[in-house]
Formats: sequence, structure tokens, C-alpha cells
Amino acid sequence: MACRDNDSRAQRMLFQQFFGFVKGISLRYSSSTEEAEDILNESFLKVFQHLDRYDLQQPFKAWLRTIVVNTAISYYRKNQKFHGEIGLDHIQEFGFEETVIEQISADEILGLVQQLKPIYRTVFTMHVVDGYQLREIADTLDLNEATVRSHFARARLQLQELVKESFPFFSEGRMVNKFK
Amino acid sequence: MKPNKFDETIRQKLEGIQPNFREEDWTKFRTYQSAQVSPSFIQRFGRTMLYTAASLVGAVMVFANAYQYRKNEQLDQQLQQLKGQFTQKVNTPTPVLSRVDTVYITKYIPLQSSRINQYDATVPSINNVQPKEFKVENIDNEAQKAVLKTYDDFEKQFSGKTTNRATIRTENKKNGSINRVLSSKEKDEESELTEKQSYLSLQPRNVSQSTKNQHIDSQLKSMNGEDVARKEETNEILSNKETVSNIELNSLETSLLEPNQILEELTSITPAELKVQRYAYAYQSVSSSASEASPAEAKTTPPPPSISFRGMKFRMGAGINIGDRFTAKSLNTSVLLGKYWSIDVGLSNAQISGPQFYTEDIFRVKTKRDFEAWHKSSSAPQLIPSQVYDIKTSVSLVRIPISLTYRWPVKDGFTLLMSGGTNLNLSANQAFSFFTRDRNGELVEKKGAFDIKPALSNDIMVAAGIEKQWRYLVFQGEAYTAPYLQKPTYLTENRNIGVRFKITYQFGKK
Repeated sequence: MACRDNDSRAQRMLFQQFFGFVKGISLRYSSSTEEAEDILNESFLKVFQHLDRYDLQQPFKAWLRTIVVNTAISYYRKNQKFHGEIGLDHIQEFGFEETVIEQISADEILGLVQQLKPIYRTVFTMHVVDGYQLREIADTLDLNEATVRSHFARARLQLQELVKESFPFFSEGRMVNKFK
Repeated sequence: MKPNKFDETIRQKLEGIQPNFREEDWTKFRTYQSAQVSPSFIQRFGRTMLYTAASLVGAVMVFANAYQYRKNEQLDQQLQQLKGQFTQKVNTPTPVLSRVDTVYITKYIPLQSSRINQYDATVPSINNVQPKEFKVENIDNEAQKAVLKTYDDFEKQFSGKTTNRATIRTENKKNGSINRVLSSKEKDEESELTEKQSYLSLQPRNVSQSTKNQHIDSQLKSMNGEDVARKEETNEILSNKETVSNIELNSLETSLLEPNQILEELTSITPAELKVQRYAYAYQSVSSSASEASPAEAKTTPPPPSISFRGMKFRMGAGINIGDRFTAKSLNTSVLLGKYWSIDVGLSNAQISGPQFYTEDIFRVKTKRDFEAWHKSSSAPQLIPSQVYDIKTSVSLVRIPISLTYRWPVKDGFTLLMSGGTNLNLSANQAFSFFTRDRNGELVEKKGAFDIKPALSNDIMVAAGIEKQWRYLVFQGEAYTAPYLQKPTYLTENRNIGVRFKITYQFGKK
């Protein structure tokens, strides 16, 4: 209630409490820390502006996650960074030793994810981390489901390549090329 | 596509990333917030309006207090002055009226041509004396007979006017002596008092009636032995004895008054009462003359009405209302009912910014309605309906604001205003805009509008402010609140507060 009345102390408390949660989502949807900060600030701004729309019956984190994801999508839509995706014909899938990734730290994986193309990163993160179905992603991004599926496949392949390139000693001899 | 272990591992590791809060993060957010957020009207001006209203109320109270204090002082001074005047009036004798009402009644007494030049200096003194009591000896000549005849005429003249106080003046004309009788019906109180005092003072002299008679006798005797034709000598004798004749005139003047009546007036009637009687007489004479002039009209004329619209004043002008997401431009008319009340009616066009929805789903959740069904503007059904983003709504209202205003004039053309009323909604138009993607994937903005039927009256408006008038130009500034009885669907919040300004021109006298 205090946040709705623009109480600065209450807003600060809420910001502090959910900063890590929002920052984590922002980081995996962004290409850099600066972009993540923009998404984070924009997300909290919307939260404080539209706090009166929050349904108290629903979990706050789910509502907050929706806002951050939508903000990230909107951010990249504004910046027209969803273009330039490649076609399905060029997808190359690797057989990847799944235990390799466990040996890589979270920050390193985050660094790899941030290297993905925005559309790949968004689709991959939405589907893998935030649990969106590919159809929902397609609706949200106003894309065909097949396109989304292609983007997801390419995102995973690109991420595996990045792992291989960044951590060759982990993946050496364990990665098998597969061609679709 | 099934999530494999690679995906699950990625998810676990990415979800585990939750950076710690730092103070600089909050500082960055506040900076971003202040740069991005355009504060609402209340956030921007709420505090200022509050302080302004409080200052205004305080200033008005101080001003009213000082004004009332000065007015009390003036009234005290006026009261002291009136007390002093009253004391002066009580202590000082009744002022002497300076008005002089003198009526000259002139009567020409026909005389025979042979007696024209005869001067009747003896006439006044014989008023109180019966002519038969004159002891005139040897009245055998014409002159003596003429004198007696003149006396008889005077006696007849004054016989019916015993209550009048008369002054007889004798003027000697060159072409002949004409006796002019001057009668004064009324004199002012001063002259009356003077006369009465002179009467009282002369009373002892007047009492000596025998002296006057002796004087007349002496004159008659002197005339008895002379030739009648020597009229000029007689006149000369009379003129030489002017002092004596003046005394005689005074004695005649006072003798015509009834002594008992004069004494009663002096003792019982004060001059003030006399004055009141005079005014009463004047009023009665005027009213009687008016009633005589048109008696029927006087009977049929109704009493004057207690409420008069003769001094009614009108004002016409324009105004603007500014509120939170609300702007209205209006044409206003005011009818001033007396000094303290006025009725305000106008016609306004209000623009209200409605709620915004980020997506169609949010719209559905918030309004419990489908967006497509709500705006009814889809021209052709789409095989694959595209997602709608950034839905914005606004409403345009045509309304008639009506209010009753209590006006409290303070000073220098300033008037405090307190009003209450409502807005009668005539029509409303709902506008909306949203973004959607076309076949090329580009975002396209679409706009539309449709009419809605608002409630006729759905708010109660209360306002307070101040007015300044320069001759016929009036400027009003008011803060108002108009909460809705039932929140309209096109609004985000039920509160409706703001300020309004009006400029009007007054018709009719100031």
C-alpha cells in the first residue's frame, strides 16, 4: 500500500528485496550489464507505476517475472534487434556431452548466453529458464511457432558451440558432430 | 522439444544468478525514475496546491480579521461621534430655524379721489378701540369724516381675522397715499418668538392704551382746527412722527394677536414640535394631493415586491479545468443573485485520459472484456489474430456544469467563492489506440473511437477559490474536487481533483 502511495522508503525496500531476482532475469535477457540495468530499471518503474493492477491473490514473483520478461522483449523490439535470423536449412546440431556444462560456473554460462543473438537468447531463455511454451513465445513475439522452434534450436546449437570454443578442455573428445 | 539435461543444467545455473543489492543500484534507479517518469498532476502540484490553499486560507483569515478589526474601529469612532453629536444636541438649545415663510396679502382699499392723498396713520391704533369710543369733537369737516370712514373699513377688514397676526405698514406713495394692509399669516419660529417676546416686552406699553388714544385724539384735534385741503401738512406731520407711528405699528401688531393664545403656545409647544407639525403638514398635503390626483391608482397599486430582479447581473466568459489526466475547456455564464449568491451554468468539452494496457491479455484481465469485442472496430476478420500491444484509451465528454456559488466580497474587488454543483453529461466518445504487427512484422499503430452513453449526472463538484474584478472583467481561480458517484469504465481512478480558471465579462452595472 505504501508503494502505491509512492512512499520512497517502501519502494526502496521492495527494490532491495527483489533486486537480485529481477537483475538475474534482466541479465539473461540482455547482451550486457548495461542493457540489464536498463531492463531492470524499466521493470521496476513499471512495477511501481502499475502496482495497483497487481492481484493480491497471485504470487508476486510470477507477476514480477512477467513484467521483467515483457520489458526485455519490449526493449529489444524497440531497438530492432530481433532481425537477421537465419533459416532452418543452415541449422547444425551437435551431440553434446551434457556433463560438461555442469563444470562451468553460472557466471560463465551467463556470459555465453549473453553472447547469443538477442532473438536466440530470448527464445532460449524464455523456453528453458522461464518455462514458456514455444507457442506462447510465438504469440508473445508475434512469430510463427516454427520460427520460434528454429530459433530455439539455433540458440542451443550456438550456445554449445560457444561452450566448445570457450572451454575446449572440457569438451575435447566429448562432442560429436551431428548433421540434420 | 523436450528439455534435455543440457537445458536443465543451464536453467539451474542461470536461475541461480541473483546479484546482491548495492546502494548504487538504488541510486541509479532513482535517477532513472526521475528522468523517465513524468509525475502526475497531483504529484507535481499536490504539495504546492496544498501549501497554496493553506496560505490562501490563512491570508484570507488574517485579512478578514484585520478588515473586521478596522471596521469595528470605524464603527466605534462613528458611535463616539454620534454620541458626541447627541450630547451636543441635548446640551445645546434648539437651533433657530432660519426659514422664513411670509405671505403678503394685499388689499386695495378704494378711496374717494378727494381722499387719496390722505394718510391714515391713525388706523392701526384704533383696532382695539371701538370707533364709538373715540371722543372726536367737531367732526364736521370732510377730512375728519374720511378718517373715520377709513377706520370703519379697517374694522370690517379685521373683524373676521381675529386669530391672524397682522402687520400694517403704511407707505407713502408719490402719486398719492394708498393705505396698504399687509397681513402676515405665518412667520418662522424665530420671528414668532421675537414677536412674542416683543409682545411681552411691549405689553406694558400696549397696556397704556389710553396713551395711544390720546395721541389719536391729539391728531384728530390738530386736524380739527385746520383746513382739510392742507393734506400735505398732515402727511408731513405724520412723517415727522415716524417714531411714534412705529411704536403704534408694533402695538397694533401685537395687539392683533390674542395674548392668551400666544402664551399657551409659548409654554406648551416647543419649536421642535412645531417643526414636526410643519413637516407633517407638508407630508399630508403632498399625500393628500397625490391621493386626490389618482385615488383609484393608489388603491389598486400592489406593494413593492421583496425580491427585485432589477439589479440582476450577468457574466459570460470562458474557462479551463486542469486535473489529473483531465482537461476541459468551457464557456461559462453566471447569473448573480444579489450580493452573495450566483448560479453558474456552462458548456464544456472535457478530455480524459483513460487507463492503458500493455497487452490484450492485461486488458482482458482488467476489464473482463475482450478487446476486439470492446472496440468493435475490426474491419475484417483475421485468420490469425495478431497480438495487440500498448492499448491506450481516452474519453471526450460534452457536459453542462451547473453550480451554485456563495460569494463573500472582501475588499478591493476580491471575492471568496465557495460553490457546489454537478456536471450533466450530454455525450461521450471513447477513443483508443494500440499497436499490432502487420504481415511484414512491422509494428503499426491503429486508432479508433466509438460513442458511449454516460450517466446524466455522476459527480458532485465542490470548489473554493477567489475572484478578482476589474470593472467589468472578472477573473476566477478555484480548486475543485468532483468525486464520481460510480466510477466510470473509462477512468482509472475515482478521484477527480484539479484547478479551474475563468475569465468572464459582466453585463449590467458593477
